[in-house]
Amino acid sequence: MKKREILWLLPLLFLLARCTVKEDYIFEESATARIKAYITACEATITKPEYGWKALFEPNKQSLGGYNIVMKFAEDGNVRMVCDFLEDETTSTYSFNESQGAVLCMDTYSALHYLADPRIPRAGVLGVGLEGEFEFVIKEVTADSMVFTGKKWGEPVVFYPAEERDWTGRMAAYREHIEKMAPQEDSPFFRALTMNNTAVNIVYDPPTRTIIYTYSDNVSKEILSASTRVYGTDEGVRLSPEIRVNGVVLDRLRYNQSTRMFEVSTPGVVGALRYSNTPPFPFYKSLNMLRERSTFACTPRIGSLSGNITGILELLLALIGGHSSYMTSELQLGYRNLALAGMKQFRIIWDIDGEGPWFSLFGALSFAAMDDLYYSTSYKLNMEILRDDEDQVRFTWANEKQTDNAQFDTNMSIQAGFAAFRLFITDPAGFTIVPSANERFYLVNLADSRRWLLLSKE
Amino acid sequence: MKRICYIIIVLLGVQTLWSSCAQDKFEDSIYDIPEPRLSELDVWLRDSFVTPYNIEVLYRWEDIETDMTHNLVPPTQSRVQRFVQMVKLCFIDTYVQLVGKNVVNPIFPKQLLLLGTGAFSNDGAIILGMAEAGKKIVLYNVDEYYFHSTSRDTITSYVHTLHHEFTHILNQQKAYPLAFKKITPSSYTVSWQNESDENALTAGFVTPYAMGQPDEDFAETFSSYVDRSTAEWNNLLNAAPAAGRALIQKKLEVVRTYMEEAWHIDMDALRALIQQSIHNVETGNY
Repeated sequence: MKKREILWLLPLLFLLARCTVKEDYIFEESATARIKAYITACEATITKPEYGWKALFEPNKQSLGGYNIVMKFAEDGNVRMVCDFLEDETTSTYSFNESQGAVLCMDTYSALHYLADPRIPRAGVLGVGLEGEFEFVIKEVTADSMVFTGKKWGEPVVFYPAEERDWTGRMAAYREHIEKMAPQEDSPFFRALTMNNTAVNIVYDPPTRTIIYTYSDNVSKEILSASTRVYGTDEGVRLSPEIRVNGVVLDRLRYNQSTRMFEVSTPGVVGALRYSNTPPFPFYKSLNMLRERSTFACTPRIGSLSGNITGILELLLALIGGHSSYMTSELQLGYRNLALAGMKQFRIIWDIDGEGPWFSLFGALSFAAMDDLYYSTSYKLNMEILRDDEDQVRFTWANEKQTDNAQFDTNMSIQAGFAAFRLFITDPAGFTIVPSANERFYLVNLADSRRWLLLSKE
Repeated sequence: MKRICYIIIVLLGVQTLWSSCAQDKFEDSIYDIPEPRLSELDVWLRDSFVTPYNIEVLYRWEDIETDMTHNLVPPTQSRVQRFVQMVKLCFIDTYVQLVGKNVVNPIFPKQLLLLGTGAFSNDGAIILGMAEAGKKIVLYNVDEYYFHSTSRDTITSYVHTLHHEFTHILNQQKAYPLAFKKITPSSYTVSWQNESDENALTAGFVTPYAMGQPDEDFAETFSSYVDRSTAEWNNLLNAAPAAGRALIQKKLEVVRTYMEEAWHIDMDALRALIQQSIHNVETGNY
C-alpha cells in the first residue's frame, strides 16, 4: 500500500518538472547586441565634434605633471593628434573593442603612445616610461564629454569638445611655455622663485614635468623640500599643488615675452623666477643633512651588471646625455671616461676607520668585467666648513689613499676623468650643499654655479 | 515489484517525450559583424602574407596578443611595411627558395605580431623576440629598424631574432635530439646576463644568451650560423679556446643533422640565401 502511494506522487513530480520557468529579461536585447549598439553610439559621438576632442592626461598625480592633447577622430578609423609635448602632428589609427566593457584603443603608435613608451627614460631608467595610456575603458558618453579610465594604470581622463584654437595655437603655446621652464643651457644653477618677501629655489625636471622646490622655514630655519606638478597654460604655467611657503601661496606663473622671464600671476603675490649664481638663502645645516643616517653620498651606478646589455645601455644612455641631470657637462665627459675604464660609482665617504671624508671610486678592472664584486680606491680629503650656516664647504687633497687593488687604483688614476673629478671636488672656491628631494644633494660651485654635481645618500 | 519497475519506466518515457515538446525559436544571429576596414597597408599585407603563406601580420595593438607584464607599445604604422619587406626577403623567401612553398607553408608561424619597442625586464634583459605554441612569432623593437635599415648589423640582428624564433617553432613541432642537451649539461645558468661573450665561447656557447637553457642554445646555434658568412662564423670559432670550439662544433653537427632530417633544410644553402638577402636589403635591391 505504501509503495502505491509513492507511485502516485511520481507523475506529480514529472508535471512540476515539465513546468518551464518564465524568465523576465530586464533588457529586451542580449548583452552582445547592447554593447554593439553602445559602441556604435560611441563611434558616432567621437567622430562628431568639428574640432575633435581635447584632454588633459595626468598619468600619475604623485610624480608626473600634466600633458595636453587634441584629437580628431575620423570615420575611416584614423585619428590626428596635436599635443603640448611633441612638435609634430601624428596620424594613427583607433578602434573600439570589448574587454572590460567598451574600450577605445589607439591601436598604432600616436602621440599618446609617446607617454607610454618604455624607451623614454624616467630618472635614468628605461622600461616604465611616463605611465601613459592608449586604451581607455569608456565610462560615460555625452555630447559634451567622454569619461574614461585608463586600462593599464586606471587613472581617469575626460575628453571635452575641442575648439579651433586648440589646433591652431593653444597646444603650441602650452608647449612653448613648458619648454621655457626647462633649465636653459649654460644658465646658473640657482633658480630663485621670489614670492613677496620669501623665496624658494626650484629644480625643474622636463620629462616628468615636476618641480622640486627648497626653502628655509621662517621660524625654525629648517631647510625643507617639496614637489609640485607643472601644467602648460595660455599665459605660462600652472602649478598643482600650489607652492605654500611661509604663509604665501602661489599657483601660477605668466611668461613675459619682453623680459623673457616667468612672473608670478597669482593674485596678491608679487615675484618672478630668476636665475642666480648665488644661493637665494642659506641652506642651514645642509652639511649635517647630507651626512646624517648614511656613511656616503654617491653618483648613480653605471653598469649594474657585467658588460651585458644593461650595462651597455646604461653607458649608451650616459653617452647620449642620460645622466645629464646628475652632473654638470664638464663632469659628464670624465664620468664616461671613468665608466669605460671600469668605474661603477663615484662616492664621497664620510668616515673610514674614524677618518674622512674620502674621495672614492668603485669598479672593476674593465667595463666588460664589472660584476657585483668590485674594487675600490679612496683618496683622503680635508674638509673646511666655510660659514656658520654649515651649508658651504671646501675640500683639499690630503695625499693619503687606501686601495684594495693596485691595478684598479692605477687604472683609475691615469684617466682624464679622474683628473676632472679631482679638480672639480678640490676647487678652491668650495661648494654650497643644496638639499633636494629623495635624499639627494647638489654640490654647487661657489664661484660658478653652472658647475655642479648631484649626490644621493645610500 | 516488476510491475512497479515497468510503470516507472513508462512514466519516465512519457516524461521524456513530454519535455521534448518544447520548441526553441531560432532567430537571426545576434552577432553583427561588419566588413573590416582595410587600409592600403592591410591590403598589401593580405596579398603579400595571408594569401600566399597563410601568415597574419598583426601590427595593430591587441593587448590579448601581448605579454601584459611588460610596458609595450604598437609600432608606428608608417614603419611597418619596410620592416615586413625585410622579414619576407630574409626569412620567408629564403625557406621558400630552399625547400618550396608547399613544404614550408604548413610549418611557417601563422601569426607575426609586431611591437614598436623591446620588452624591458626587471633583470636588465630586453626581449627582442618570442615564439608561442608553434604558431606565433612576436617581433619587438620594430620602430628602431626604420632608422637603421641600411645598416648590415641592424638587419642581421633582426634576421637573427627571426631565425632564432623560427627554430623554436620547428622545435615545438618536432623535438630536437636529447643528445644536444648532453653536450654542455652543467654549463647552463639562469644568470646568463652576467656572462661575457668570451665566457660563453670558452664554455662552448655561441652567445651568452645560449647559456640560459638548451632550447635557447639550440636556437642560438642555428641562427648564429645561418646569419653569418663563412668568414664571420670562422672568426667566431677562432675566438673560442680549443675546448669551447670543439663543443660548439659538436652542437652545430646535432643542429645540422636535425634540420636536414626533420625539415630537409640544408643549413649551408640556407646561409647563402640569407646572406644574399641581407645584402639586397642593405643595398636597397628589392
